[in-house]
Amino acid sequence: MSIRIKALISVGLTLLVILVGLYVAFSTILMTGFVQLEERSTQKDVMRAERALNEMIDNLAVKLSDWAMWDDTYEFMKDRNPDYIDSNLGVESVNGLGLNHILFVDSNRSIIEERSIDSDRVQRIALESEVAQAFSGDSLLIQLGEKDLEGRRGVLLLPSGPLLFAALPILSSERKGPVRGVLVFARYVSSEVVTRISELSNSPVSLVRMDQISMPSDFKEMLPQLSNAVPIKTRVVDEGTIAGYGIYPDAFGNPAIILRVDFPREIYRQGEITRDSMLGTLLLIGIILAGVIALVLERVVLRRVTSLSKRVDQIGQSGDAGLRVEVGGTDEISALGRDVNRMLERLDHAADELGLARERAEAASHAKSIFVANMSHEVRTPINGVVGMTQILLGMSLPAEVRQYVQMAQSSARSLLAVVNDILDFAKIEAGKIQIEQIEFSLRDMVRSLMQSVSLSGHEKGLELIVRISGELSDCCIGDSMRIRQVLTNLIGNSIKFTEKGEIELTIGKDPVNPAQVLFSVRDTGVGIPKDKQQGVFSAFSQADASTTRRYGGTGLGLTICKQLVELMGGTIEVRGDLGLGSTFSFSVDLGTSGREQYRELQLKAKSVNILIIEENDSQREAVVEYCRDLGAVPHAVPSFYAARSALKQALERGAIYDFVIFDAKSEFDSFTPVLQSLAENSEFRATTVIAMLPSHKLSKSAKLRELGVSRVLCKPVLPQELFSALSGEAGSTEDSLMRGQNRSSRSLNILVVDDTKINRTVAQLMLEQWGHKVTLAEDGRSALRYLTRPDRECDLVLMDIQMPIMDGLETTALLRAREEIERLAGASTELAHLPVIALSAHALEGDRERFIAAGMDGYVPKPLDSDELFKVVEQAVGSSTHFSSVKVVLNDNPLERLVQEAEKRIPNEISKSYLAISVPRFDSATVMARLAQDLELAIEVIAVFLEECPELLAEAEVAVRSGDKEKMRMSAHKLKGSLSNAGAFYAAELAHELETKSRLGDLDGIERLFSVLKQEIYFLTLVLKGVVEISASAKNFDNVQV
Amino acid sequence: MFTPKEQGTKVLIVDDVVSARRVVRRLLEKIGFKDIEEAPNGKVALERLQHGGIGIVISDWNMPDMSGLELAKKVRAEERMSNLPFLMITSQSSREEVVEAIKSGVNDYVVKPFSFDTLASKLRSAIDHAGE
Repeated sequence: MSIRIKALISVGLTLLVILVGLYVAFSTILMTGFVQLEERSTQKDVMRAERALNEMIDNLAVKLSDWAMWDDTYEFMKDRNPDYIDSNLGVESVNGLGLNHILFVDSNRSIIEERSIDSDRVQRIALESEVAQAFSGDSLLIQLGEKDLEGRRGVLLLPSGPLLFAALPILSSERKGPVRGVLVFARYVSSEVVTRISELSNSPVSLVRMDQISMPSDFKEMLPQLSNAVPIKTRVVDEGTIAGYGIYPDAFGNPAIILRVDFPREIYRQGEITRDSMLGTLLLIGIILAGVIALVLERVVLRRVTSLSKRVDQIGQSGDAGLRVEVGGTDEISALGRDVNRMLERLDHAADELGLARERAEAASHAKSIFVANMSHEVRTPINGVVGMTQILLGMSLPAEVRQYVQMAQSSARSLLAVVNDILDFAKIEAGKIQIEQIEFSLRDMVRSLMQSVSLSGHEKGLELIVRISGELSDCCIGDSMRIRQVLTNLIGNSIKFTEKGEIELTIGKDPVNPAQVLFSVRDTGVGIPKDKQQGVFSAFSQADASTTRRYGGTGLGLTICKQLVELMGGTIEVRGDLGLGSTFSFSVDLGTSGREQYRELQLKAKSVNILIIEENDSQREAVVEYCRDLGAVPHAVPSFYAARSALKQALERGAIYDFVIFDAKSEFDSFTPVLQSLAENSEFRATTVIAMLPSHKLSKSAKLRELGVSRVLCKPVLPQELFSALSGEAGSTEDSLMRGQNRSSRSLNILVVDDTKINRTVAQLMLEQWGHKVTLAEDGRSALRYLTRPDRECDLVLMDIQMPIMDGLETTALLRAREEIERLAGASTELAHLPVIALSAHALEGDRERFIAAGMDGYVPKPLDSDELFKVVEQAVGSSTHFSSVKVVLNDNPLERLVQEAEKRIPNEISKSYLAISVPRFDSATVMARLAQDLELAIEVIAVFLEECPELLAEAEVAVRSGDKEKMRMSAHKLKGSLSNAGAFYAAELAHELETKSRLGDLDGIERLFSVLKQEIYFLTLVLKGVVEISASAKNFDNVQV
Repeated sequence: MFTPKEQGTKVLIVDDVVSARRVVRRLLEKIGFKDIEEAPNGKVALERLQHGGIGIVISDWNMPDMSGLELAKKVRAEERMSNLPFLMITSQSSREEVVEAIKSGVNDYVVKPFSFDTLASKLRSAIDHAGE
């Protein structure tokens, strides 16, 4: 809910509460007052009506007094003269007085004369007995003396109606007695009387007799409430009328008549109007106030808050902390705005700092990755030498043992390389940059190569190494063999490291839990890992105990990489065992099997081949037994030579001769010579082939063993393929018949190898020469380029290292391509189209291949050089371009070059030495000529212009360098570069370019030295080029003379 | 390759380096152009262009004060020169810069160092483009 709505609601609610409160207050206090006022007023009215009634009675009395104290009447009472009656008491006269009755009562209290009139019909009627009774006899009403000048007056309730009367003693006109009787005037309370009362009291009045049976309901209701104590009562009849009720007593003081006076409720209405108008006014004021508050709130607060909030939102969305909110005024909102601005400023500042920090961090990270790449290059180069050299050795015909050693040397070198790769890998995995490949590979070959690289160190420690590969597993798998091998190398390496005695067993089989996966486990009998520390071993830089690092060494990265790699391959790795019980690391990964099954089922041709296996180690024995079964042979295994001898004896007795005896030759000769002797001596065993199993570090014993009658030697750990070879009579595993280097290329090529490392050059040279190619060597890009631009070069293919000092492979190739382009355009050679360049690189970082291709290279062979791979690439080059061998650079007979050479000869001896010290091409006459359409004259002109402008440009550059003005430096270097390259001075142009680049980047380190080199170079240039211009001028003159 | 009419076109070479101008001038003369003028910077070039009569502009990219790119933009901004063939000579050849040059109305560009044939063919294409 917005503040606007909240404010409006609260103002509205306040207003409502005030109004309701006031209403209640008015209604209770004010209106009560008004009601009381109204009541009092009504009571007064009732009293007024009563007074009116009194007045009427008094009028009656006044009239009466005229008659009663009149001498005529006084006389009449004495003489009873009828004239008096006739002249005064005519019907008309009585009626004219408004009377119904005139009674003359004598001193005996008898009515002597009377007149009763029906006022409606204006005629005389008979006197009702009730009236006569009331005013005769003992009636108190007529007991009046001389002094009773007031007489009696009041109301009498008679059956015929309430009667108003007055009675006075009859006296003389001088009001003197004796009293001759009483005169009574009376009239009924007729409608006329009521009207009269109403007129007198200004309000409609109605009268009801107390004893009336059919009293109107409102009277009936009010009657009980009225008494002498409460003589008047009010009652609200309706909205407009209030009625007052009062009791009027009769002449005896008894309640006789109820008077009702209707009174319009003007006072009450006035109160209501007052209340309503007050509330209305208040409401109006409230609404105006609310409006004013809302307006002020809107103007002073809300609009500004809204715009502030919008602006802050905008800034938030744009993410640009450089923006500010507008601030005006000095109130709280302005303060808020200023606070926001201050916050933005800090944010901006922080963002700047963050950006700076990030830039620094990125730069550091970049520097680190370059460092890592460089380091790995530095480390890999010598390893590559070892790998390459051993590979060349393996390409030669070698005695089996030597071959084994060399293979081991190579495997170890490769493992070392793998360690370097580990470090790179760890960095890559951490950065999420590693990719798991899906490539077909031979599982058993992988295991063999793995064991070759790790077994020596294990065997040297006296450990038994056992490999058990389940026969169910297909050999041809799809996955990342390098990564699996990496994990296994790590695990086995760890096991060897942490096992002092006993065995290490690698088991490979289908995962019993998930048969689609292959389970690899490495079990050892080493120190083991306490259960509580087993999970920690996979964390980076940790070993089970910090002291283990000291004791066993290692980076502590291995298991972390293993875990990450296994997880990347969709598997899990776990460790079992306990302290002192050894450890078992196992992991399972998805390994697809290739559709085409290359793995031929190894089966011995001969049926029921009997084999005696003598092996002390249970696991090794079981493994060999299992392999033999898989091969279809019948194994008989014994754990000792003693048992072997009895087994042989039994065999002799049964006549079942063993076809093969396989024994563990690890122990001292003495232990097994008796068995060998008995085999040799007994003619029955002549057909028996004796095979010795030797740990890798004791292969030197094999010669001695052969003397003792051993036909073949198997290197431990025994693998199925090797066992099969040994049993099927093929050359033993130690006598690899496959001779590499027998490869010969189909055609002999001229190959230029460019590498700054001697060992790398030699490796490549030896490999290439083995295949029958002619090899030229170059140490760096510049000399390679110089060779390649020589007219007499013979080159079909270039193998180019990438990372080289002076000029790296990429630059060299780019320059070569540029030159080829120029020559093609100049038509210098139609033959030289494109010289294939193959990159050699230990750079294994992503995107490198693309970089190489972009620089104009045609292929890429990773280092360390793998002879097979190199052979393939070279053969491809041979096949794809048949014209290679005939490619030669045919340079034109270049007249400018001749002039340059001529001019160089003129250089004074004292400088010629330093002039020649630079081995790079200083002046590229061919390019100049090509660009200037072979126009020598034009070339000379351009050179002359260059000589003219160069001193000025150089001076300009010198001033800039001295002043340190980067922009001027850049500009002048650029100009100089342009001028120099126009003149064909590419080396100097390159120096100028470097100067330009450095000044553009603001890298002023060594800029003065660079400039002095450039200056020196320009000095030489101008020296030579001046010579060129001079020679050409004199030649022209000479020509002219001749013409 | 060039018609006599085309060869009669007046060419303005803009470059701050004398030898660079000379090379271009000589190459143009070889192609057959006779009427060649030079300007050592963008300002002089603009003044010269205001006088009229120039049929082709060949400008260096990297010059002090006003770069070839700025010159090209200024030339293209003028109504009557919006179709003037404009050839840029650059020592850079990054894609972004070429795109920028083409966007600002340059008909074609030549990357230094260039050969006679390159200049001729680029000139050809610049004239053709501008003629469209």
